[in-house]
Amino acid sequence: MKSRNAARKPVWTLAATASACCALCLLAPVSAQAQDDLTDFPETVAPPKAPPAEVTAIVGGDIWTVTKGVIRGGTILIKNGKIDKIGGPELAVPPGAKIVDAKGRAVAPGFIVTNAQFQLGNLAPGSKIKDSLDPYALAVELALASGVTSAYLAGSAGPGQGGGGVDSSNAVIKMTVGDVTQMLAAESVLSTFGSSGGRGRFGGGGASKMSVRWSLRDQFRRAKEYQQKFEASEADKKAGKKVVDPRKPADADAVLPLIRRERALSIAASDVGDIRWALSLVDDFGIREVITPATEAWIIPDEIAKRNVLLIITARSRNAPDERKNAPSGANPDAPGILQKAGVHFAVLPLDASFSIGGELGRDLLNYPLEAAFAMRGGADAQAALESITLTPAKILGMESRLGSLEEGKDADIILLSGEPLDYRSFVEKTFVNGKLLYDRSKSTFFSQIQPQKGVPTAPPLP
Amino acid sequence: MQNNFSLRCVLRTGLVALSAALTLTASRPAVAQSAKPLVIKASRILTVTNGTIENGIIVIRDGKIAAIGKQGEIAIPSDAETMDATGMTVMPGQIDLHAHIGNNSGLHDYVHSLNPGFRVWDFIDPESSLVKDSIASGITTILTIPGSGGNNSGFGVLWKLGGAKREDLIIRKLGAIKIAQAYNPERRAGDLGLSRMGMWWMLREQFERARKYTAQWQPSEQAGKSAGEAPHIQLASLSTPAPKIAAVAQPKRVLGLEQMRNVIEHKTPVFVHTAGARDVMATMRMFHDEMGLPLILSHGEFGGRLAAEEAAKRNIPCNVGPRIYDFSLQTYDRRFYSLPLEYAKAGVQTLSLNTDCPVIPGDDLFVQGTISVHMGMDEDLALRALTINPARSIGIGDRVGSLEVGKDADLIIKRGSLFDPRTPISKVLINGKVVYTHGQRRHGVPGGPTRAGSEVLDEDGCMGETIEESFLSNAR
Repeated sequence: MKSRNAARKPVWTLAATASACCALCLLAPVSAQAQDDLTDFPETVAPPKAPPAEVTAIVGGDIWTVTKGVIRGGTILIKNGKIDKIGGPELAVPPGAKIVDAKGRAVAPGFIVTNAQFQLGNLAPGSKIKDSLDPYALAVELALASGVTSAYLAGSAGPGQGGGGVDSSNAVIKMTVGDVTQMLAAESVLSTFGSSGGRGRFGGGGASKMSVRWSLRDQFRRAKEYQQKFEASEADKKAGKKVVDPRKPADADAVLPLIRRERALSIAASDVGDIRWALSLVDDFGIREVITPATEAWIIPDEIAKRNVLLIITARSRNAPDERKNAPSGANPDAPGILQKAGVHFAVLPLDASFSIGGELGRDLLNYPLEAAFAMRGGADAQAALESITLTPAKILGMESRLGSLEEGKDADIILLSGEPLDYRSFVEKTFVNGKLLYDRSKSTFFSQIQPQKGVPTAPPLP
Repeated sequence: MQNNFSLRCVLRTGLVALSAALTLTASRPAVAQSAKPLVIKASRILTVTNGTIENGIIVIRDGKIAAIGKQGEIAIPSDAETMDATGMTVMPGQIDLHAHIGNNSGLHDYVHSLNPGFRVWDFIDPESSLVKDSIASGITTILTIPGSGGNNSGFGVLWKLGGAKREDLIIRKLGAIKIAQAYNPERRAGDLGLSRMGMWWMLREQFERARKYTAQWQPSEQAGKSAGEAPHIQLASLSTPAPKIAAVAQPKRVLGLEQMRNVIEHKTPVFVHTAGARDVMATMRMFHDEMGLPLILSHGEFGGRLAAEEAAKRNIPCNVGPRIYDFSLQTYDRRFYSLPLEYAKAGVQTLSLNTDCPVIPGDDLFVQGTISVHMGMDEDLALRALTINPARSIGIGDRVGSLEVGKDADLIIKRGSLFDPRTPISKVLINGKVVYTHGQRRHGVPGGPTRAGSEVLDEDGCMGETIEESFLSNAR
């Protein structure tokens, strides 16, 4: 329980060094009031005058940057929660920097989960995500121990759940154990839509696939018309003409960010028919799109690649083909390779996207990199597999400017592993979020007694 | 070896004795039809029992391993077909002792808690898609057992995968008796067996009856010389005369107890679903200490590891899974404990892993090893836990589980370690015949999808997930 107590520091001290982090901008406006001693986790925090920025240097590890290959024995300098500099052994470490020895370790960006199905707080119906987060949830600690530094969290009962309709009550959560002020990294990063729609064939009015899809298209059509009129009227205004503001349809706000390509629409679709319908929205309304679980995407990879649609898949799906179909159907273990060859980018998710303590392993997020390893079994190369739990999830969540790779200016969400990131023998040794060391295997109870197997070269080199 | 029961398993059920053709001797699967020997050249052969052979060669004849050794040191028959597995590793097929696949709705029924007459072998389905998934992941031998809804769920069947004809596949019809002793079989109907007191008593009572039954029959059989002279069930339509009554008075035949005689006579082991230190101890006390029966502990989760040293002392085989770790259970220390590692550290010699498929899909048996290695287990031990150890536990260690001359040619060809999920299995052979080749799982139209099985659990009528979940909630 030592680590727990250590994490229970006054919140403002933790927030201080990260005050530059844009996570704070998303919170309620910072108030200058003295902090309320009665609240454990005040929502508004008065940041004290920032002390001179501390520098942390992670030195000597093999840095898996994701975007720029592997830097052997490299150095990362962290300042204000961000990656300040990254380079080879020649990169100078400023005096006074806190040194983290990463010799013999792989250094990689923290893993990102595109759909957290675990408890990060108490998301009661109607409650806001930011009011519900629990920085002491066991899942937060297990996430850190598994190398997961951020995750997409869907809000409570939104309109998208069950009955169709577009829902944007979601957020990207950072696993800042003990510090609620840093957990909410971004809100409404995606819009979601359950394309299957309906409550069965005999559901009430508006419940069928036909009506749900028709409603969505109609909503998009009216929003798109409004957007065009709006742009025209803005242009007229600029030109000094007298204009009447176009009337905004009542339901346009939910989809305008999609029409404006400010965020992507995530659609649940698995068979070819549903995927093609999802793609038709890209053609007709010019939106950005994410499709999941996209079980049959491997049958039409070119159609997906052409539209730059991103996928969230599982490389271990075993959905049987439909015997009655005179065409390919069902899951294919070789899908990752087929998709990659066609130029489709995908994130992976385990069948159980939670941190289980029930005893089964290798099927949930406690071993998240295994999912990427299975994508390699299905023919994806090591790069695409690593991206499938780092950079591609970041792109899906619209966070690639901050997350998903080790580059200067990005958030310092960094993990140290005992071996290569996708090697089944590797253990997460240290996890940094926003530049802070929040998990150290040797000091945590979870796995500290385990001696991981060294990377015995039992396998001939992989292609 | 504790479980040195006979391979040949001669049953004496009255019904079956009706027909000589159905006499239940252990059947041997048909071997590869081709008379031509098959030669596999591989960069590495993991024999499991005799170390690793670099640049090795295996000669397979009539479904058996005829020769194995280093390339250049083994004579290649002139008429042999050659399979080049350069760059690959060859290892024995995996064995899953706790699976519910291919049993065609034969999981359990809940009417009675004791079902000594039940058996799975009557209706196994080699065409089940879960079977195909298992083959594709390199499982070659399996013990399909009834579920854990009753205390005595009946008999599982020990069989080989990779063939269409059931009779050719079965290694032992009464593969093991499946006893469930903790959590799942607790009766919620309000009748006997709701509590551990009730369950324990029912099991003791039935095994005692089986023991008495066996003791009654043995002298009369010795006098009558064979089971063939025993009184049979008479069917009106049969024109054959009734068999003659033996000179010694025959005890009354009871079909369920007839099957249980095989357990009492050590011809098949007691396979026990048990978990938690308390119940693992009770299982060992009851079946090993008191009854002296060949015993396999299965599951052993939820703190059962705390009794592992006692299992080691008694040399009882432990078959761990589908849960592969305890988190803080019974120790309240916020630690993850790898169950296979804890059993191994306690000195359990015959340690094996299972999937309880479909609780964990059959194609993830090797992942149980992957995770064990991740959690610190030596790869050699993990491989043994999926091959020779389960073979020895169930009494077929002389036939499968390692690559040795004279053993069945059940093997996996794969690039790299069995436990590395990054590489696919290339080929699987059973009895010297290729039953799976990577990329050839497709069916239907050319280029069509794989016949890769289903997420749906009802393939085999398995309600495993639900039951195991109730198991879990009980354990909490």
